[in-house]
Amino acid sequence: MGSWCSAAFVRWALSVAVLSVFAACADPGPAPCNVDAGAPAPTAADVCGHLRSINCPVVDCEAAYAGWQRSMDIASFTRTTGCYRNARTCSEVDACNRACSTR
Amino acid sequence: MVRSRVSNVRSALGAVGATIALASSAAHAQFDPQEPPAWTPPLDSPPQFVAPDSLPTNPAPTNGANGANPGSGFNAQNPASSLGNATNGAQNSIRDAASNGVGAEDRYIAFRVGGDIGYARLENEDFVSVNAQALLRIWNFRFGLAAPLRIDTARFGLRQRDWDEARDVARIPQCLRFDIGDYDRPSDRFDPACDAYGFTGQQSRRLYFSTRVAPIDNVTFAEGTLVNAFRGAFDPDHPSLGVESNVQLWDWLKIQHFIDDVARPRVTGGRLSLWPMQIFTGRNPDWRWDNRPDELELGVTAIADMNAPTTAQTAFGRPIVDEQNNLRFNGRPIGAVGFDLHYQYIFGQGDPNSAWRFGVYGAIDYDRFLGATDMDMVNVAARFVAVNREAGWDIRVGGDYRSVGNRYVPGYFDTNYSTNSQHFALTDSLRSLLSAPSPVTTKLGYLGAQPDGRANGYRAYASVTIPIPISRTQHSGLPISIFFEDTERKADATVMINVGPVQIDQLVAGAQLVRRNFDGPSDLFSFDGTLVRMFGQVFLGPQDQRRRNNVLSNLYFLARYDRRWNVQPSGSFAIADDVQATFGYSGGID
Repeated sequence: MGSWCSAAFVRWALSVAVLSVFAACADPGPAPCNVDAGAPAPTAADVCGHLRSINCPVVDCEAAYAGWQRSMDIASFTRTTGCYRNARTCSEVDACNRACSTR
Repeated sequence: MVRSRVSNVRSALGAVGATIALASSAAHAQFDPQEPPAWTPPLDSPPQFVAPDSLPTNPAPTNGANGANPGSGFNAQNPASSLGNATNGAQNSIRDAASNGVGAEDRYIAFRVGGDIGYARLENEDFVSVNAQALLRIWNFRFGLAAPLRIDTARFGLRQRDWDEARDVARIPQCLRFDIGDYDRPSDRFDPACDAYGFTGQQSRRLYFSTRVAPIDNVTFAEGTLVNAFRGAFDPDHPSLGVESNVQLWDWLKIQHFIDDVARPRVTGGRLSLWPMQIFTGRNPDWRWDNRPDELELGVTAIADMNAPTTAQTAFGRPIVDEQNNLRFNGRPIGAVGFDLHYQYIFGQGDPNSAWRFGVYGAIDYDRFLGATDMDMVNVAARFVAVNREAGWDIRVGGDYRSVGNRYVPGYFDTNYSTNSQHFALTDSLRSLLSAPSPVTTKLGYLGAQPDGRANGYRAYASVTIPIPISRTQHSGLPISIFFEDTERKADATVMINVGPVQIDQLVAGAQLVRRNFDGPSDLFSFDGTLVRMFGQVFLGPQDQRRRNNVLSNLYFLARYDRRWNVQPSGSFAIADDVQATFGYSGGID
């Protein structure tokens, strides 16, 4: 038999497999919403562009941004939109609502 | 007795071996007496021949317990769908005439090519519809393929959404199948139903396995209390191919199984049913199901949605959609099990003085989702049965009582499931019940918000198969069924009406209406949330001459109407009325 089938190789392969499974199952959690208190909220173009770029488009995003801005306190709005801006997946975007918004 | 059964097993195994070796020796095609045939495919599928061989002719109602299935969708109560479908001479004469001595059953390879052209209206847009079709059978493998094209007459180009994503290749396979064992080999013609084949021989000696890759169009388990006329995604912009399989082991057991989408499997389920009287007592003295006065069937069902939507993903309080406008969801797996017991007794079996037989049918079904409270239902059904085997009449009338958990919906996996699992509040009645504004309320989200408790419910059911003479010695059957169900809860009523499919030589036609989640009889006559499907196909020449290369017998008009849910750019759903009318031809060696 070839050396590729050695015990060391099998251990290595099993370790890689186990780590891969853990990596795949690990929940990255919501994107952080620890935005600087004094920092301005990202603009509508910035947030909506980011959402589109990660394939999470929102219908009439700019209008939705404006409506949300009017109805929410500024701190919560800034945290949430900042979280949107840093999100990497749609699930993280959705999690921002619960993690950062007091709405 | 046990020794006798073992002997039977051996002989049947031998029969299977012979069957495999000979690539099936079944001779005559017939409507499947056991499986409710699927509806015609959605309009995104190309108009195809509705294989006349797959439709009921001269239904022979018998006392098969599973013939009384009020929830099995389009052919819910097709009386021919009982185990004891005795071979009727008229049926055979039709098949013999169709064969014309060509001996197609013995061919190892068969093929057909064809196409049609006409008008299509899809999501309020008009198109010229052009479809090319091909069918190839090699031994017991059969491949039905199509290339549906819809040409936008305003832009002189193909409909953009038809071929804009990888999964659109799912439009091409229409019915890929493998069948082995005892079955009546149909003509090798386009078969959009893609159902399991029937068998006119002795069911008690039947061994059969079938697996098909095709759009899942109409799957019902038992009384339809858990899985009722389940239809895979019917959005013409996102075609899907599922898998459906059937097994029959003599008159002992049957297995049904399906997966909704082979590319992205989400819903999968199966049912195992047993006939204990046959297994343990061998009560079938001359191997004919219809000679027994009674029938007992036990079944167990398991089904899972591996990613049932729980909440919609949102940003700024609005739903997030994907590139194809589908809503994005958070989901979790859910699973349910069901147990059912059916018993039927026909009085006067063997009485030579009357063609009419009368009987009773009863069933108890219990379905439950795992790990959930009050997400279950008990259903008790009773029916009066009247059959006239000689004339072809079959009449069933009755009602069900049910105790429904507050988080359960009768027929949970239903025709609407691909839509209402995402967006449950599709009707005005349901929308009025939502207490807080929400961009999207999923089925699980809605039911999960219900309080603990149970509600009483009922179902009223009637079906009749009307014999339609097509010659002195032959008749076809027009099955009509209707049920209405409701509970004490609001927006919980359902009505389903099925007419056909019926074949009268050159004509094939059928219709289905489904309306769910309305407020009871007072709200019955409304189109809010109503789904309707109709189709009709007329061949220009007699079908018993098509094997003689009669050109007219291979020409046809086809018309379809499909009132269905349609995903909107906002990710919500709206009703679309799709129409298709084409004229086509197909020829080949079958």
